[in-house]
Amino acid sequence: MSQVIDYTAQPIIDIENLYKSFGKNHVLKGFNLKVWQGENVAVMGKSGSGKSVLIKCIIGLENINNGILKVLNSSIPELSRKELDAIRSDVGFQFQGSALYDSMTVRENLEFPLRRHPEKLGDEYNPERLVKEALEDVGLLNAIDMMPSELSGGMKKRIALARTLILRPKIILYDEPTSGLDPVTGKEISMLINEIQHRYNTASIVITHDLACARITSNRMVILHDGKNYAEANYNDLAVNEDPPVKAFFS
Amino acid sequence: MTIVIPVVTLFIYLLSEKNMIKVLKKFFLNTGEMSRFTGRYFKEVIFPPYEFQELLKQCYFIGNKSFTLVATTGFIMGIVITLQTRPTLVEFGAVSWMPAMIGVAIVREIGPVITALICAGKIGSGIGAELASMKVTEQIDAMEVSGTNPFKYLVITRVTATTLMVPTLVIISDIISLGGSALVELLKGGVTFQLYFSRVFEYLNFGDLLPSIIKSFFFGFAIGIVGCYKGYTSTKGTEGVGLTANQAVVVSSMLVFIIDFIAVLVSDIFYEL
Repeated sequence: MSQVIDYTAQPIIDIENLYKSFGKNHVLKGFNLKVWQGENVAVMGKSGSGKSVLIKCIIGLENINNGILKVLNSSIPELSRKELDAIRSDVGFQFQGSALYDSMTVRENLEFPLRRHPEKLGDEYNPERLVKEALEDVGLLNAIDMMPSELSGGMKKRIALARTLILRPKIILYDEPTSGLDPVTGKEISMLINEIQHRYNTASIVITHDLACARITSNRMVILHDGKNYAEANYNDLAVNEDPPVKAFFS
Repeated sequence: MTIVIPVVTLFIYLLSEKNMIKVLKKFFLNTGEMSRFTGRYFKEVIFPPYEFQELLKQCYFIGNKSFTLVATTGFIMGIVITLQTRPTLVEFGAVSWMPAMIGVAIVREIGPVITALICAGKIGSGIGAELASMKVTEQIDAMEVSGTNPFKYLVITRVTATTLMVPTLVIISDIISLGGSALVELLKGGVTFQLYFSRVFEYLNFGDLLPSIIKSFFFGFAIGIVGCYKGYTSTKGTEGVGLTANQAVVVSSMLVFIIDFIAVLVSDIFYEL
């Protein structure tokens, strides 16, 4: 069943004319993007084109130079530290290398964000139950007391996803969710991203190089080229686009 | 001659105007950045939220895990100093002064400095490498996006833990060193532990103990802040992890000697009063 997305509603992420530079290296040069509730948007672009920088700007890990960047109706550059932390509890971030805390078990990794935002879940706050639920969602309940060093690459990605899911975010930002995985595990992760979208009605931005992942997960695709959203359409339309910068990704 | 040529070349290289400016610029930039980092510590340590659980965990790791090394080194140090000093004191017929001399030497100087140097090697490098590795693997960013202030969780707890635990380790090391020394005196001179320690405390006074404890807090703070600063600001990926651990040890060891030098000058003023 495909996700029903209301494009007439207010976008959950609204980016207009975004500029971001590192010294003389101008990474984003007037990037625009709107993402709606329940929508998965895949962003593809060459290495170093600024895809990861884009989602780091959205979560407030990088400061923008210019433009409008609104997440859940809040302008990210104008937020105080406390307000930003509150927004962050509604935005999950899946890191490329999973970024699990080495010194903690899987259980402690999942409890970490939970214990920081007990107010977020109100009466539902029950770390033991929530950790188990999140692990069941990713099919790894048996890994609850393992250390990250004991997990395979695919398991780490799943656990990181469970850690992201535990606070029931409205938005999830995925940074190369299938990188470093074999095609079968990559496909499983992509299917899991879809499952999460359907189950929790989350909006997602999926940064990827993996065409299979983009095809499976995206309702819409954006090609990031020369710091701008060069092309924007669904997977099937972009796949037949003859424009060289777009075609380069599909050939 | 073979050694002189490279030494002279290095000296000329360092003295050349361009390199001198480069070296000085780097030094002042690093010092400035580290001062800002230290300032941030004092700013953030006061305000909540407080990470008490993590602070206790770090105190346990830093204190408990360094205990064996510090205790063994302290014990050997006490034995070695006593064995080395004994013949000279025997020659001058002043062997009865042994407890007083060893007590003052260990409590005032050798104990704090040696313990601090061991901690700089073990704790400083450990903190530096741990934080650098967390930075490389984006764990610090992960903490930030989960709504946790990583500076409070990682830096404040570790620096506070080293500041509290290094003086504790110094006190333990001092006691064990004196125990080692007393053992030598028992075996070589037939002096009982009771007599040895009563002689030690007869000559030790508050003016010996207090400056030693105070400077140990500074040693602990320096070791923690340098390790955290180097780790937290580490760059160059995985290569940077080893480099950070190395730099943390070098800089914190150097700071231990500088702090010790200042502490001796300051306490000297008080002794003269």
